[in-house]
Amino acid sequence: MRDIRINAFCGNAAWSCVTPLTRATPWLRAAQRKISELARLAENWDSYGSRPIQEAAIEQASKAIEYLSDINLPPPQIFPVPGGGLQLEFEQDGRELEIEFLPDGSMGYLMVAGSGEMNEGSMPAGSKGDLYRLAYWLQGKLASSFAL
Amino acid sequence: MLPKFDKPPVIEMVVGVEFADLAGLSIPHFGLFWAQIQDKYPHCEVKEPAPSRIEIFEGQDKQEVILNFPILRPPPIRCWYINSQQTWLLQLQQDRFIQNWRKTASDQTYSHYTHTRSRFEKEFKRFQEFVRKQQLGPLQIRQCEVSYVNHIELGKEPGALSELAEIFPYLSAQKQGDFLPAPDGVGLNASYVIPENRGRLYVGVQTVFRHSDAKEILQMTVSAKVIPTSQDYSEILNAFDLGHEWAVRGFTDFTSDKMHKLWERRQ
Repeated sequence: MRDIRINAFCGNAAWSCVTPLTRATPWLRAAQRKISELARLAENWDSYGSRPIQEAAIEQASKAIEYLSDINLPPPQIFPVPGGGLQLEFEQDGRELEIEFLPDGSMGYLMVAGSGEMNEGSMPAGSKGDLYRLAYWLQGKLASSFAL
Repeated sequence: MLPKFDKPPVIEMVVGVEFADLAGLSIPHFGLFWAQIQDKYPHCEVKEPAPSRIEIFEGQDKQEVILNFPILRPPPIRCWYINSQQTWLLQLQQDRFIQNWRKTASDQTYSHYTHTRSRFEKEFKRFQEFVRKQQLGPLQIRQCEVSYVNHIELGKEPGALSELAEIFPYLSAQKQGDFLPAPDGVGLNASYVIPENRGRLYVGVQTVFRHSDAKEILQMTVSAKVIPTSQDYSEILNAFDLGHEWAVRGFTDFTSDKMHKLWERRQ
């Protein structure tokens, strides 16, 4: 896997996570711009008193799209979630995958197979392995009944 | 006297050493060492090791090639030991001992070089003692590093992406015609030899997407790598001080007076 997080020029620094724009794919740039736009939503953006999108959700979603940009996935739809979270939605060959980033940075998922069978659950914040497994399921590389 | 800033854009600082490979430092040692510092660094992460990069100059021998036979050598790893506030990080691998400080909140006070260096010294002494007790061999320091990572927010500060020259005078002659639009990404690396081939200063500037707040910003990394002239402790400290001087003066030279005012330069 390619890891484009900055560390090549100064291998012992850059503990804080960033993605160099010159090395980001159009897929990743588009998703980053959408997250940037949603990160600026003000209090009460949904007119039901929701908080702005919380920093932990922004950070985890930003990390997740960077991990997932290594895999050939269709572009995600990205939505704000009332309460201060973010949600990524993917659709491929009849399968649907939703990944939600809660305001505290924890993650939940919902997989909907072509047959309509559903699986949902939660996963630890920043779990790269779990994100890859969900992506492979979406691509049809794992059994449709697969669950984390 | 070195330039001083009251509000520098520093978000991360690094003080560390690269030493001759401690081939005997194997996975159990990383755990044993963690047990000694766990009260201060309760979190541990295992990472891929960073490649060796000792400065070489014309006429010097090429860097020694380390043959890596997985059967004969323990698998190389790097351990990150992190404090509970996520502000201090110790990095350990078979040839590296690095202390990082980072800013995690906007109101957090910047850890000055003297403080970061003294923290490094304390932790490194503990590591030296650990190496001695575990009979892992002599610690031959090959290079000292002082690095700063700076985040410069675009839009909030003067100098939009199309006006990088306002931040970095170095770039003032770059734009000749009016055909090209503003770049949507920028990457620039420069390196400078420290006189008498003592080491090099690296300056890197690039536009990045910051994960913590989803902002596009400029990241400027200034990294001084200095080769100590001997293994005397005072010389190791001198090498750090030389690296610090080059990092601070290099940062100041590379950035504009306009930005210095914004960062509240005092001297």
